Amino acid sequence: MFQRYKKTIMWVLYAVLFLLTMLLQTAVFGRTRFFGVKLSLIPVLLVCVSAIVGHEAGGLFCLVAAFVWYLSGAADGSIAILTLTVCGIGAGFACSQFSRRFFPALGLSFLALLLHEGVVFWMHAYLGAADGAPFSWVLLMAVLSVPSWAIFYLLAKAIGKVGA
Amino acid sequence: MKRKLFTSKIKTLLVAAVALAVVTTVVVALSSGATAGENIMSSLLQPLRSGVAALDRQAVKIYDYIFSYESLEAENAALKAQILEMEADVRTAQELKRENQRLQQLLELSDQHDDYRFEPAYIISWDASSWRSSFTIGKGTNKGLEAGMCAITENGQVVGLITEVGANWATVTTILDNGLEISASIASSGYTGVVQGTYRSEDTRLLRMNYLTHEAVIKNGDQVVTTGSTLYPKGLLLGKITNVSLDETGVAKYASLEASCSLEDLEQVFIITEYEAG
Repeated sequence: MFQRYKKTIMWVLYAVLFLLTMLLQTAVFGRTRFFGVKLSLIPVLLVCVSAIVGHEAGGLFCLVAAFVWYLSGAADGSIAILTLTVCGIGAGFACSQFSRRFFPALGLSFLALLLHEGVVFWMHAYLGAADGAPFSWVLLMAVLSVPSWAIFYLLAKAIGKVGA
Repeated sequence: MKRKLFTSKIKTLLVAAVALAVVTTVVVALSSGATAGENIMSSLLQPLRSGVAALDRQAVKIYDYIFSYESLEAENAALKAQILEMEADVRTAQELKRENQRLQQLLELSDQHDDYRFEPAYIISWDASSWRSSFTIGKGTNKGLEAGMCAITENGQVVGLITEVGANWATVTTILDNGLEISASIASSGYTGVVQGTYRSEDTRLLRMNYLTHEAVIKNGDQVVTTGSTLYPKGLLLGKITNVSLDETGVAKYASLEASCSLEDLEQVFIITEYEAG
């Protein structure tokens, strides 16, 4: 019973962390462009949570979070539901092969950013909404966004201990 | 023990993700404007976004106060001098205005922009995508806003158009967005074209005016204004021309513009909710 209570608290805290990140990304960082691009924090957060909780629970969290992200009006579009879920599952599974996951989470965050933003860029380019935007922006966005992994990983790990 | 990637749960998750992505795409394609899910989620997030945006504004003010105190003092002194100068200008302007009013009565001309009705709105969040330029404001259909209405700055510069609207929120796609096209004309010569945003990391205020005729004679510095629609008036300033070239087809010209509004420090916009056409 107590274990179940702790797990519930853990998932509530993860949901709050996701909500805060979403607000931070849209209300604070959404206006600022760095070298032409905006930061992308959501994929990094989801990779870090999946790295801590594993690919099954992490995948489910990513699916729900991606759906909420889509419903919040994010321009990533519905394809984000698929890409973010796949990123979460992949990162969770890959990290489970390591006993220490801090640095693997860094690499996987970078790959997740490339995959997610690359697919979103391709979709926008395909639909004609990103005409003229260079693909190098995807790489730049990944490079600029990935340092947030350190904060997200440590927060996700601290929250994970609540449910342990 | 070696873990298995594709367990039954993972397969279910992947199928659910694909199904959700497909269903949401179909729902968006079939519905006009915001879907019910988006409407509910945005309405729920609106108070939170307003709160965070207000906190952000306060944080910026405190930061500016701490790190720009000396420059603020100098700016304050300069502004005081400017106010004195402007007060003198205002006195002159008031005299001229009275004279102007008499002349207007004489000529039975009405003030051109008295018919505008504005709805002020604070920006509560910005789109996080690098491939779009849009933001959300904290007012919607509850204040009479509709998709297609025009958002301007306090100086009358066009910021963008409302593209989605909910009960207490609305999304404004800015003129810098590549996906937004606004019918426009050059104020001095009357040549018409379509203005849309561009993506240039070195110059994010760059716009492009397409479909100008090959014979068009255009000067740098010419002002580009809206030609109007059923939902917003004509004559609103979009930007100034900085360069003119032949387009990719070689049969028409395009002009590069610098957008008149700056989104960097934008906090509040004014939506034109009513005006008299003609």
